[in-house]
Amino acid sequence: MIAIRGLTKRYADKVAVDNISIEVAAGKVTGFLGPNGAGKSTTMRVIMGLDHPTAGEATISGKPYATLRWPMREVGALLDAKGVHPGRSGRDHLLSMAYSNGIPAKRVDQVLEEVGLAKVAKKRARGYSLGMSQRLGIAGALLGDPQVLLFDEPVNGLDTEGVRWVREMMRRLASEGRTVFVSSHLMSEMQQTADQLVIIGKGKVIMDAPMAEVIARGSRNAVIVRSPQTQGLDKLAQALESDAAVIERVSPHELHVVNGDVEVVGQRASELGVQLHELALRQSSLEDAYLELTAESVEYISAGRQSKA
Amino acid sequence: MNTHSTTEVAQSGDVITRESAAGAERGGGLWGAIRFEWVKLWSVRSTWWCLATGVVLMVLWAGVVGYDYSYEDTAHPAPTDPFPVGDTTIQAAQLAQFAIMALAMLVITAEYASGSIRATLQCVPSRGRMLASKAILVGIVTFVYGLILAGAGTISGGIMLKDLAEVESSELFRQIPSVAAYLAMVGMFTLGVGFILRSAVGTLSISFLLLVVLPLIIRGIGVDFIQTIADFLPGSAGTYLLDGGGDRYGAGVAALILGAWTVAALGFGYSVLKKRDA
Repeated sequence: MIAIRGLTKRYADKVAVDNISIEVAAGKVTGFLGPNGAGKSTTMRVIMGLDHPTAGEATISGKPYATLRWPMREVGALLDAKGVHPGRSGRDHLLSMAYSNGIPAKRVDQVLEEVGLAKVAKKRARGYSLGMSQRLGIAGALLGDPQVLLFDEPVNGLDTEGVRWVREMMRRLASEGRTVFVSSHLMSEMQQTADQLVIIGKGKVIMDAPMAEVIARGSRNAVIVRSPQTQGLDKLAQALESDAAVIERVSPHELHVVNGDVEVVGQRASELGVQLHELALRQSSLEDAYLELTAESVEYISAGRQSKA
Repeated sequence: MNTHSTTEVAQSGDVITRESAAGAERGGGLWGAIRFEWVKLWSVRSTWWCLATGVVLMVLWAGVVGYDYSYEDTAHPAPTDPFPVGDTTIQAAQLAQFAIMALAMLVITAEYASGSIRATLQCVPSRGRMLASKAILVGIVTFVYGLILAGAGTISGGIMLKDLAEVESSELFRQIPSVAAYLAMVGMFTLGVGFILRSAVGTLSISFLLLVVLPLIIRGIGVDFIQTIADFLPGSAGTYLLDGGGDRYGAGVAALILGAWTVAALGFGYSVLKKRDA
């Protein structure tokens, strides 16, 4: 488990992380989301004991990272895939890391096999693509078979197969009871991977909740009803409004029941004998919910979105 | 991966061991950190380039010194006094030290340049242990390498001196370890500066300034108290150490002064490492 209490990180002229407190539980994939510059990487660097917090603390199983006797056996992290000496081979990179924590050399070959780098392990890191570097970074995180794993943007540069592989790996690691904390800016990917979400913006926690709860916050959840019978739809709208539902009449042949329930709408339509051509639930995507939640805390907003926001 | 077992296995009494795919919890610590640095040192080409350059500089320069002394033509009659072979190495060491400085500098600045310093601190988060492991590695490697260099320089100088070579074993037994000790301290000093400055250019400039340039410049200034200051610079102390003492102090004091500079550089480097973000 990762615990962050009252963490603040101030740089010369800027507060990167402003008094955040989160607990990242074991057995789940916890997604860490936020706009660029929101403080995600800073938070991860503080957890790993690389940056010193201005105030507060981050602990892993109750201890600061820097005090762990065999840190890689407790925490594995991929923070910066390109942070490898370009002149060193992937295998030597991992082998040196293994020695530092008393991990046997055969484990190095095991993780190389697991991440699919066994064939290029003897090549210098300079020649690795971003995707290969990500795999090498993931291999390094897995090396100590740790209970706690941190990944900062792990799917950057990966192809479709690689993205799916990372997703399945993270799901598996969580199902084994490990703590998996992963930052990403790819919402559709997160939606498929994470159980819990921590969303930060401008250095503050905007939301810390299960995935379903975050998506339910999105305002675009609606039941879509289409019918050829305009008058039938009028009747249905009246009936639902009397049940206190919010109706958007999009066209004579279509209405939307905001935050509606498909079963209830279907039941009513059947009672009123309205012929339906479509009855569907449109859910907010994580992306919709995320954009609404972070609209006010976006650091570098693009011109197009600014006008809408 | 099927070996990814995380079952908690109860053993005799209260001892609970987690079966890990990464093997039992053993090793690590300072020894693990030194092995970590050892593998990193030998797995990049730049190390080998530095070592090769050092040998070339040493062998060439010691040879040149020997040849320069024994050289004979019409305007320059050959001397008849013998020349101590070790002195060729002592002179050449002042040139070969640049290879040592580059080697020691790269041990730390290459990690800051590539960002792999973060991987290093993930593996060895204790700042003291991390710095100690690098200092021990650089100290031992450069000392052993210094012995080899000094030996090679002596042979090269001896060959070029031909029959003018004066081989006195007691003198060589002092000179060769002195060269090795000097180079090891230059290496650790440069490493300390690297921890302070983090950049290759800055590290090389400052080390070069303190070890070579300043002592040379100040020697040309006649003012007494400036001379006294110059005597305590690492470069001057190094020269005294290599020469087996000078008019101001002996080799022992020289080693102490150079050692103090080395400890100060590493100590300052440690405080920077501890305070600043990686």
